[in-house]
Amino acid sequence: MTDSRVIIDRRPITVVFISRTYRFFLLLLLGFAFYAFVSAPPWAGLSPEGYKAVGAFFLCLILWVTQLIPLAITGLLAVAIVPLLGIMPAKQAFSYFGNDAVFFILGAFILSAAILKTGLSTRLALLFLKGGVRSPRQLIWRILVSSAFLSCLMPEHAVAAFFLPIILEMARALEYEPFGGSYGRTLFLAMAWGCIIGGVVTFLGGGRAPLALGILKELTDQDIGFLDWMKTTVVLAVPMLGVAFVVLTFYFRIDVESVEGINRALEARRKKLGMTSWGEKWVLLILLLAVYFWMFHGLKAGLANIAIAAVVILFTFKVVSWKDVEEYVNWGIILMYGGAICLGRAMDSSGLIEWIAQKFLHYPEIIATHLGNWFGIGVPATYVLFVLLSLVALFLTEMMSNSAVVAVLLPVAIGLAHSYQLDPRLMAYVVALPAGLAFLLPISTPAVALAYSSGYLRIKDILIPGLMMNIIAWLLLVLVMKFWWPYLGMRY
Amino acid sequence: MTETFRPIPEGDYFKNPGYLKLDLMLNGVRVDPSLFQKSLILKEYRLSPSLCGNLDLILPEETHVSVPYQEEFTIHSPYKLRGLHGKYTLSGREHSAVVKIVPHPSFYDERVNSAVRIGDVAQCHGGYVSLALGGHRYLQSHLNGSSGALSTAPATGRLVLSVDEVIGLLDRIRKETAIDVITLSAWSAKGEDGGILQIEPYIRAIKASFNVLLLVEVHLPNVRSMIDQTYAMGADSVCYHLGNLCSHGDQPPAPGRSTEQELHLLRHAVSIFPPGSILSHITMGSRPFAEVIEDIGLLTGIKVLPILTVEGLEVVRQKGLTTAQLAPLFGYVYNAAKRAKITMNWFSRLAPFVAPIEGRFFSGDSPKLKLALLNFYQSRFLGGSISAGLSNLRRKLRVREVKK
Repeated sequence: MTDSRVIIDRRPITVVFISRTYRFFLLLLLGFAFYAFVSAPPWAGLSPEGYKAVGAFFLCLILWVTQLIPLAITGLLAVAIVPLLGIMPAKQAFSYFGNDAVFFILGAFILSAAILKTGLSTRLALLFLKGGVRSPRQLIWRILVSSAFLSCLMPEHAVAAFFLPIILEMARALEYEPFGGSYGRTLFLAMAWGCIIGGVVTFLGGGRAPLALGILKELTDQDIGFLDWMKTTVVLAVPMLGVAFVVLTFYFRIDVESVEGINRALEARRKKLGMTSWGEKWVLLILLLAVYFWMFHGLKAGLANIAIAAVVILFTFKVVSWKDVEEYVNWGIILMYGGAICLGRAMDSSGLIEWIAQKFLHYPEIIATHLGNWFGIGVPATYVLFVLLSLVALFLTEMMSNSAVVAVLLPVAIGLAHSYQLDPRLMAYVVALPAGLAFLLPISTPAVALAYSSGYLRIKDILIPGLMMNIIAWLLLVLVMKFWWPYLGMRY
Repeated sequence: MTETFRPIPEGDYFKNPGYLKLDLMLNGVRVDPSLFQKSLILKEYRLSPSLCGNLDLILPEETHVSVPYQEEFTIHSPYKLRGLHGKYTLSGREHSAVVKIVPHPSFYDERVNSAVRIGDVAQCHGGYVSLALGGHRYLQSHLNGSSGALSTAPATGRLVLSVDEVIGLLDRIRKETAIDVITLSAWSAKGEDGGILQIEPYIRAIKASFNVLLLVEVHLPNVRSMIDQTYAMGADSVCYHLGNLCSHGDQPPAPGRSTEQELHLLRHAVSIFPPGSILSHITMGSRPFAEVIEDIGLLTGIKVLPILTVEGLEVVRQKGLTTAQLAPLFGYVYNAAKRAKITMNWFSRLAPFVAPIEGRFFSGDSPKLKLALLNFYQSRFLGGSISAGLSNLRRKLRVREVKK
């Protein structure tokens, strides 16, 4: 009782009962609905396995959106329910946990655990702010760039987690109280937006890209190189940083004249860090080597193999302990990935993806025709398909986990790519990129949630500029697809 | 006060179990000596007179009463208990009624440990078990008829039983009689917690081991968080020793605390505990009835259920108080609680006290639906378990422990 306190919910007991038990009743209802669905005869043109895969797909979709149970448990459920419904044998279903992407993300998590544990993360963040910040605007830019850069090297939520105390210190140096100052709010959002933008650049910024890669590999046996991915994403991320800077400085009033206080606070923090330790040096070296091999030898050597090799070297030099890894690694995400890849494969092998693709095949063509007839805009149906899919992904990612969006949307997108005889790798970009660009709500992404948790931001401070960012991000993506992709040889 | 009160002539008490209960509590009963020779039950009572001076009877309409029968003043009692062919008759000056005797537990003389007999720390009144961890003297003064079945006493004892011993003791009691309600009293009120932290390990252990309702008797704590903790640790109902709220004048009810602060804390307790489960003793006897009525109004106004108690039967005798004088106060409690829509289902069949719901006998009210529900919740096989189960569920839903 000493380190905890008691909170009594004083609302009427009926309200308390409903709020505490509705999840159970919703799950029960969902269970009955699922049973009724899979017991019914299959839809015309769809095999019994495909029909059951529809049930499994919607069950997981609803659970991933509502989070009635944790994402990871839904992932496990996906692996269990596929053999239970007879869609594929259990041995095959469980084998998807052995996918390269799962081990790549595990390796990346362990690397980021080492970066956090040794304090290299904080040192790198302070390095970007070294030399004294000259103006409030410059500080916003530096925060945006530094958090974006670091999110290229490690998961964006980890960057936000270690950046948050630094931003809090800055806000205190400016003597801001929670909700107190417009400029204080800007700093928190700059950190969150920088993480989001940087997170889409490489495979290391979050789980979406590796998961997309895993599903792509499993369904089509095709791969995307680390550098190839970056070539596509950097062109989106760099202008996004500029847009973010403009939105932040125009939407929020800069109500401070000097940032001298912040400079002093950062200097004090830098001094507190002391000299660079051997552990930090080793981690930096191993990280740089890993990034080099991922960029230039990733396709040949395998991303997962390089990640595991980097982890082995970390442990060889005892830079981190297994206990640190247990503490820092998000094991739930790894479980979720195995389930998501299994579900995607089940949808494919049961013929469901092909069936959905056939059902929705004509809509992009109809829209493209209407655009031509009504507005005189001549665009191919495949481009309309990209625009629609990216819009759906952008919309879904505001409501559910970024990775869950990839899990439910990419298999369908790959099916559509087959129908349009497109390169399926394009779909990994079309779905995974917008899935990472969630600016609108605190629940959309951990970086915004952490910024909101600081207590300095009101919900409207996130909603209005976040909506602006979402719209601009989508427009930029549409432009990148139209003009940059053909330049890289990504034909459609 | 008199508008909903139903006065009854002394001779008609047998027609009204409430009046009969109150009159028996004040005057006691004379027991036919032959019963001690013939009746096994009464022999058991005679075995340990020092441990339990009262005789528990069940009057008509399932009205339980704990009646003094050994004290000197009982020789003047108009009531006499006789037994014939296994039936017991309670007779007055003109009327009589068939009553039941609650068997005296056989375990009072057994020992909990080398120093303590069960009867020193526990008293059973039907399914109602009162535990006084402070030991013999507190229990005697609290529940024993010799000092007043209606009286409260300050908790001045000290701990005599360990948690394991209390659980063992309750297990022993349960072998002989079903337990519906356990009352646990703090034996000291030092500190700002009102004594609750002393009995916390006992409360947690009892709730973990038995599916029963738990009433704790403590002093009002100084901080609201202690009230929250009292609920979280497992207390289903609390009876606060407040003493007199209105009669103090310039003197606050507790050192450093005003009446308003007390009422503020009580309001918080009411918002935490289930409706009707916050009780408070209101003492009467040595102060004017107007003050008692004012206290009743104050408490029912914030939905606290008052339990009327007298400061010992000696006071009753000295003041010459009679059933006819006290009865309107009990009726007033019932009407005030009814007006304030306070649930009176909790702990309503208690032999040592006149429960607020029993005030209906004095106001002439007969809430049939309420009584049917009450009978259900107090039925031995299902109702008791449901009451305790619902109370536990309610706690599970409402309490959250968060890290500081």
